[in-house]
Amino acid sequence: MTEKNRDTLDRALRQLPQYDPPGQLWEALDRALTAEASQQTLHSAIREMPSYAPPKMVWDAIEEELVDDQVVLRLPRKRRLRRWVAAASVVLLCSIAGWWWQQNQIGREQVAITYSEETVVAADFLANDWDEDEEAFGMVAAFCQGGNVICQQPEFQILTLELETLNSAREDLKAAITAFGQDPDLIAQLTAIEFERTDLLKKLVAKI
Amino acid sequence: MSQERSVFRLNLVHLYSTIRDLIFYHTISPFYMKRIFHIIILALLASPLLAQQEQLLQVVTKQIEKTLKYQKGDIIYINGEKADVRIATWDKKQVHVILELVAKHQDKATAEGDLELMSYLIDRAGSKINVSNHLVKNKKDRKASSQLKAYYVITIPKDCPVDLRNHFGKAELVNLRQELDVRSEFCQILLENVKGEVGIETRFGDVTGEKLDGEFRIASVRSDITLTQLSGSFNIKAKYGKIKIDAEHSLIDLNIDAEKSDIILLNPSLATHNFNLTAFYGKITVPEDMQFHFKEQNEMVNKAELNLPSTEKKVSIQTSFGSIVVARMEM
Repeated sequence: MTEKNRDTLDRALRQLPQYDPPGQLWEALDRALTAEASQQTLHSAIREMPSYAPPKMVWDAIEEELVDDQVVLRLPRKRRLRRWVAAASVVLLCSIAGWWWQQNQIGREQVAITYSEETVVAADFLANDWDEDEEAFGMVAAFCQGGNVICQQPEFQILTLELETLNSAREDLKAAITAFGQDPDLIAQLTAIEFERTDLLKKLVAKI
Repeated sequence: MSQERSVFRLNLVHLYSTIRDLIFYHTISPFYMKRIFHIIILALLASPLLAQQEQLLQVVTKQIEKTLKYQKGDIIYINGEKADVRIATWDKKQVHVILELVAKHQDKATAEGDLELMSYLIDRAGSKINVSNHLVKNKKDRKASSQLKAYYVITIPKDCPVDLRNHFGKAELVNLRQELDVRSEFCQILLENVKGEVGIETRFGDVTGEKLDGEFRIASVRSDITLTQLSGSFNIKAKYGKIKIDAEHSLIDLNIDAEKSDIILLNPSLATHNFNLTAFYGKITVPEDMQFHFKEQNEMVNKAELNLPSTEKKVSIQTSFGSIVVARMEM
């Protein structure tokens, strides 16, 4: 709708007298509007207000904007996916490398040499003194070389056979001590055999 | 406390005066002269003792580590010399060997040189996985003067049979489940949780076993045998040894054929076994409440039996010049 006498109307409006409202007016208006009754009136008035459906083009425009937004949103998702793929690839590569390394280690010999120091007891009792009393054992052999009948007795022969077994073990241990060094374990074993040999020698000597 | 402080202060004063006299006047009080004399004498006496007590050795260790693929049908052959061998199992289809060769000597270069005289092998030949070490002579025919030792830690699949030879050392066999064959001399044998067909031949090496199940054959000379928590059948042939079997809660067939050996059978499960005990020139001791029947009892031979018609399981023990003791309590 167009105004035919717009200029006349403007002029008349400009000529209208102007008044300033009194100072308390706005406060009174505010009180009246915030009052409960006024609120109810206001809400019922709002409900009664006419509603208008927007034109289709408005929705089209919004939809277009949303589609654009979705495009923008999809991009980070793709990026995230790419990141996941990259991370998975790194993990996979590491696993393959680990597996390959492990497979490569199978059959391969790894050699390392290390150095350290050790304080040990160095005493005379580790010295090779096990041949010092061998003469006594030789004495029995010398006694039997003469063909004495005592040596033919079964009990004497059994003891002699036992002594020979122990002598053989003794030689083995002596050889091991020479080859591998004065190991306390070997010396302890040799000592145990020496005890048994001494016991046997005493039994043999008692029969002579 | 204050008294101690004052005494300490007094001693310090005396010491100071003694040193001062010694430096400036070349004199010393008879009291400190005596003390110093005692300290010098003690130091002189102790010095050779201290020197003898401790010795510093240079230890050179060569560690070899190798993993081999395992296939069903493979057998591991271990041949050790002066070696401590530990064999255990795992779930992997691999054989893993860690071998440490150790040389100890006062001189580092000698230890290094002697270490080279310890040769080793960890390799496969067909279905045989060979693991071994032995001492070799060098080109100048020089013998090692260092203390030498080998340590094995071997991990195998449960179904891998083991053939072990070792001279001078120790063998520790844990959680094995397959055929096991051990031949050793001067080697202590420890078995723990071993199941399967087991054969052991030992000379001058004690056998100790716990949680054993299967068919065991042990032949020993001059070795003690101690076995606990047993299942299956055990056949022991021993000469010159002490045999101790703890048969509590065990369901076993036990046969011991010994010479010049003492045998102790602890806590036998009486309700399930027949007993047949024979000792030539030795005694048999059984618990009073057990209904043993002594067939022979004289100086030359003692024979005791306990027969249960309801069972075929048998404990048969024979020895000579040694005793047989059946007992319920821990001895």
